[in-house]
Amino acid sequence: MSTYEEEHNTSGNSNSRRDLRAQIRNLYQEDGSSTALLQLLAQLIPESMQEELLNEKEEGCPETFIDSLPRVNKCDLKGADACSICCCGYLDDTHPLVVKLPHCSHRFDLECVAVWLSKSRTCPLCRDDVLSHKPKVDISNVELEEDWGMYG
Amino acid sequence: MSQRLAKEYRALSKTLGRDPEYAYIISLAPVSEENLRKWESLITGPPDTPYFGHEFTLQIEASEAYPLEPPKVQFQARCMPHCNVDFDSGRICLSVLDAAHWTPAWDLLHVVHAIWLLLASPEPDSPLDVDLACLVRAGDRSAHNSLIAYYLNGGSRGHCGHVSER
Repeated sequence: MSTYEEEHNTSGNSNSRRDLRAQIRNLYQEDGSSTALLQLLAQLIPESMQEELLNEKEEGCPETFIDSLPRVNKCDLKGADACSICCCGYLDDTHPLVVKLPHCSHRFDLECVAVWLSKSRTCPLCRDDVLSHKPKVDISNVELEEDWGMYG
Repeated sequence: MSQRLAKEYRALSKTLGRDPEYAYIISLAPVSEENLRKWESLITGPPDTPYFGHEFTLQIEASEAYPLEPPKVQFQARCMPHCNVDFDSGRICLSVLDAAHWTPAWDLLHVVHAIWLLLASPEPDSPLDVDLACLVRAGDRSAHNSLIAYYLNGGSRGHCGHVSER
């Protein structure tokens, strides 16, 4: 019968595991830079998966972020406004699906910027890290908004 | 997004020849109208550089993914002595051509302009031509410039597109 270590594909070296545990505990207790912690945690999974985990962290935005980008109302688009990725005027399309990035407010066709943000975390126009600014939810004006954000 | 290159081509025909900022671009157009992914540009060297008075060809290739991926741009092989250009292949080391620094808001005109600006300000910290980079780093402008002039005028590295006296 195989041992626990063999079955779970871990080394039976208890010393190295004790070290790892101590390091992880330290990182949790200090304020903990998340990259160092992530790298350490990555050591616990097989090598092939480590690369995937650490690389994925580097590039691209999560799909939930892309899906949650605020839409721009068609009334707010001017005739000359164009998406700087495809260079097409927003109003060339009768049903433009335009979004703006949080913080820098740069606008793009959702279709165009979604592909870009799946591989990058920067705004195409200002290179702002789009994930570094958590959108602030301003509830003070909610009552004043006429359409209650209910337009599709 | 598939129309992007066609839109750029159309916009360029208005910009080039009118905007004095791009007067150095003799041409920037697809090699054939049937394939908009392959372009070529002919530019003149910037003033106050040893490249002035010479013409250079840039070969541009936009992938299927352009503008989400940067275009591949290089000088004609064995024509551009510059510390950020591999002389034998014409390959250019420029951050905006790198996938990590590229943004889809850039277009081919911006790329050509960035390369033209690179001619006037060599970046010796990421050299593809070590000899020229050493001269830049040593601050020996006159040696750097005369070595380039020597190559451009048909020195031992090979013959380059020299514009004859008009």
